[in-house]
Amino acid sequence: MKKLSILGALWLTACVTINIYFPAAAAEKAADEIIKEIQKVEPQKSEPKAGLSDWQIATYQALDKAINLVMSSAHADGADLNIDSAEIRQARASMEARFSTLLPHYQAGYIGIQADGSLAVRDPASVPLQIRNQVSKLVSAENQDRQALYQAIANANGHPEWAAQIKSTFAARWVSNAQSGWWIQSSGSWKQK
Amino acid sequence: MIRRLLAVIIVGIVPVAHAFDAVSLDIEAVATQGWSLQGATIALTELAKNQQQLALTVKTVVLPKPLDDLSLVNLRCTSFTWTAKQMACNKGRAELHSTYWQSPSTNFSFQIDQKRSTFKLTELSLAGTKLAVEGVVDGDRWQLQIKAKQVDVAVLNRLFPQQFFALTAGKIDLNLNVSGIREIPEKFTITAHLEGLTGQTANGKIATEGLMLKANLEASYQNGFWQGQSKAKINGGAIYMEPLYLDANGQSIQLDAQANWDVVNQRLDIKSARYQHANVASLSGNAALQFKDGINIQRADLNLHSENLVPVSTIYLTPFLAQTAWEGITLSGKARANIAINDQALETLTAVFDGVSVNDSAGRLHVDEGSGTINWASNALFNEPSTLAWQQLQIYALPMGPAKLAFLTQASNFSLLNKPRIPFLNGTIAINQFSWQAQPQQEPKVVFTGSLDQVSLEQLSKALNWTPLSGSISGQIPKVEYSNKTLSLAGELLIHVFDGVVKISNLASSGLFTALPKFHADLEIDNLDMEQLTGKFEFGGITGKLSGYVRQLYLENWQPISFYAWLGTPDDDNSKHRISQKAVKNIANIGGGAAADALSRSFLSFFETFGYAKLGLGCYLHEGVCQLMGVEATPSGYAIITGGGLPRIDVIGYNPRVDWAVLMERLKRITTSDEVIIK
Repeated sequence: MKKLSILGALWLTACVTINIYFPAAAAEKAADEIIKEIQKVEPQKSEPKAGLSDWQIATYQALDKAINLVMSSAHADGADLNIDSAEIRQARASMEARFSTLLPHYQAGYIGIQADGSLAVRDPASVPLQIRNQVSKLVSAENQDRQALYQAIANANGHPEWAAQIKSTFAARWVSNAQSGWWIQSSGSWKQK
Repeated sequence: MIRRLLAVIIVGIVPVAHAFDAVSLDIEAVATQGWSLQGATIALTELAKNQQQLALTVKTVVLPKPLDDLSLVNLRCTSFTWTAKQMACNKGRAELHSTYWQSPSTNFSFQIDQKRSTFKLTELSLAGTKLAVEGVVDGDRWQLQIKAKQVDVAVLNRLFPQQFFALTAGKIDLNLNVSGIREIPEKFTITAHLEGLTGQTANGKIATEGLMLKANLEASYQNGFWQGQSKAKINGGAIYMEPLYLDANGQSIQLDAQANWDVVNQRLDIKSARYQHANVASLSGNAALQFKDGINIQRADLNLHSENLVPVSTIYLTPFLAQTAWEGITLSGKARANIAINDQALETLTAVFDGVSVNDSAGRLHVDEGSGTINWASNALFNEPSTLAWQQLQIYALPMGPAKLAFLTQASNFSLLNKPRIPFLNGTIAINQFSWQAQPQQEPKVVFTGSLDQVSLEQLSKALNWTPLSGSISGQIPKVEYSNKTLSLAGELLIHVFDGVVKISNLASSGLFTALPKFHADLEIDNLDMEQLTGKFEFGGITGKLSGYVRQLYLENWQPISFYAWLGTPDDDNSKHRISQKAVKNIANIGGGAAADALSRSFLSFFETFGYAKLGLGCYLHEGVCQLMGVEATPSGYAIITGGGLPRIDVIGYNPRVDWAVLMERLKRITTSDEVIIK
């Protein structure tokens, strides 16, 4: 009996602490991947050619196999940060759909990227009246989606508390993925990239 | 009498050349009727002539309160009279000093009687224009009139810098008339013509661009009430009031109002108001507002009328819908509505629509020739029915024919009064029950039961841009419920198609109107006739039966994300099993290639069709990869088709894992082209 209680005490005191650190590098990689996908300018889709000859089909099939191989190995390696969940897809889909409308406003300099990675209307008074409401609504909707994306990534990885770190990782990536000519705010003042 | 009020110090009569040609009187200070003249000198000139001139020079003149901000400096009056009862300057010139007014000089005249005094300033320069100011002080009463023409607002903005509204361009004609008693104004009239006014607030939320406005405001004060009426008309230019952008070019905007302001109770009683946007809409009504702890609408009665909802929706609706789920919705047609508000809450609403069309640029909703009357009241006992009819209602790609609904709306409930049968793709949708109930702090709860009868699959597949199918859907829709942003179907939906049955169960959907609609379902497929099925596809003919399932189907944005599916020859099928050469080739392609290797090409080319024992293909879709399986495992892969009879053919798949996108591309290639030829 005594033995058992000593063992029990030992068992209780032998705590193991497991620290899970924020995977900064993986987060950067994920941020880049997501941002590039959002800001992708849709290429002209070329219709697959109908009536392929047999050797072409064979080539495609060979390619399929190769792709499948690569894909499965990539899946096996696995990134440190999961960026696939319904919430993440939802935020991404919404931002991808919005980007083409945001782009002309980035280029015109009406909007810019703030230090925390959120968008801002640089000078509301300089935006033409006809589009002023649209620009302001776009910015607030985009910021909502960005915030939702950070929280969704944190949730998908089982660490809701990572949202702030994910946000700051994204902040730097939004800036570095900005196209030249876009406005970026650093230490309070706006500069053109 | 006036003289008695003067503190006069005669410094001396200054003899000048031409002996007694002129005399002058220096006065240190004159104070009367609230006027104050300091450092005055009165000179009598041209003594030699028959008509002598009395001239007044004053260092500073301060006007009576409340006009005492104005002071005239270095005043010279060349036409001056001074009698026992009156001091008057009919023609003078002076510099003007004021906190607000800056003008190098002005023409002036004044007249100080025993009780009444007047003054007039003309040629007063302000913001690039000339201004006239006239004032009367009569005992305790006073009146001030200011007339200004073509005041340059940009200059005005520099003279009176303020943070609220920065003016950059435009001209103002202003006519202001204020009168009052002691220091309290009692009545004023303002007439203003704004020409090309451009300006905005610092945050840019309110702005004007080239605004052309004529406004008139009259107000008078009596017994604690201000009574006023105003007329304003915008004839050109644009106004931005976030989120609205109103362009008045060609369509004037007019706002007339009559109101009472209860000073003590901070209550605004709008007796009548009318807002009219030409060719767009008009809104009129009355209201009582309380301005204690924010604005409280105590009561309001509003009438809205529009003969053309197109501009109403683009000007007044679109800005509010931007970046919401309803962005892209536009209206046309006619509407009028009456709204009554009591104590901050909507009390009754009546809306009449005629020839209304609803369009959605995202293609989710379309209504053609909608009409009806909606009666609503917050009272739970309200029982006046409403009607709504349309010629066409389209949800996504699914068109519904004309129908008329009768329903009751009261408080937070909606319930259907009739059982409409809506034409839908050659068949009908019958609605047996429909109710909507708003839940406090929750999404509303919607319940629907109905049935589908003979809905054409051919038209459905065409509408959804699928490969054409034949057959029809019939079945009871047991109970569709929308609650907690989730649409669900309790029970099964049976689709009779290709001589077989497809059973859909566990149907659920969420975020139906978001950028990412999600959809769940289970499908059971029973004894479909392959000859009818493949006859419609450009796939190649197959005979026999097909059964199977798609379980745990999950779609996001209508794209499959995961499912577990199997389609194959049922075990008890004893129908004729033949497969065409084209179908063999296509099935081989689905399997990932090289499946037809089992037979030599030259041999294959001799036959149009082949017999088969079983065919089947399964897919477990997970993370973008389809794990394929066939009717049986073979040493090198899986058999998609096992041969039977002569000539015998076996199709073997070698690659068990195929990327879903690649698989779809293959299927697309097959269905868009029939040029796969076997040599």
